[in-house]
Amino acid sequence: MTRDLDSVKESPTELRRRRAFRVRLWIATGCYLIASFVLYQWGHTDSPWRVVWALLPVLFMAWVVILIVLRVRQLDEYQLKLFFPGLAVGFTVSMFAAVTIGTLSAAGFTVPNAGWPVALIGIVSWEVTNLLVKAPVA
Amino acid sequence: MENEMRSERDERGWTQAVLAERLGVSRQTVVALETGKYDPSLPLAFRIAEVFGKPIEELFFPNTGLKSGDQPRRSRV
Repeated sequence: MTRDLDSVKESPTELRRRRAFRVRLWIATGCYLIASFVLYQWGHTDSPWRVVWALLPVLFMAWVVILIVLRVRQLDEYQLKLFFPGLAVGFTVSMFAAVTIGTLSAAGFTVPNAGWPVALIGIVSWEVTNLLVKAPVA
Repeated sequence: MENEMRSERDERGWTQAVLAERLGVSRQTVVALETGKYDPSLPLAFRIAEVFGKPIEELFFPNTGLKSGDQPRRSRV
């Protein structure tokens, strides 16, 4: 009987929260991509508003960060336990990548778009750790 | 730590999702609790006891090292 009761379905609250998070995340990511496209197309001007244009996509990234923080606050104690190793590894690897790029720059090497490799390495190491520890799927 | 969560849930005919909803945790957490992969915090243990209507010491007991199928020795806290 117990086996019949071991369905893989999430509870209604869990499902509702996850769907809401995904919808908001996709909207925020879409806004970021649109803002980035706008910046790429029309941001390279000598206008005094250039800084505003350049920072516009960052506002949507801040929105993504807020969404993630709110989602983390919804996690229960076991999910939090699984969630934090990924953050810790992602942060450590990102810092290591940033220091490595900084060291290369100090030695005279040119590292183009240095922020992006750091972000990419951090996200990949975060996700790989999440897979290894079977962290909850957001 | 061993627990009787699975059999208590079974007796009531609840799915893991139903128990998760009643406890305010995820199904993943219920699975981890039932399989002994995770020991709950004291507040969660009290919530589990409340949901099953039983005292904590009847639901959770120290790991005795007994094999599956053996009756675990219940010790009073």
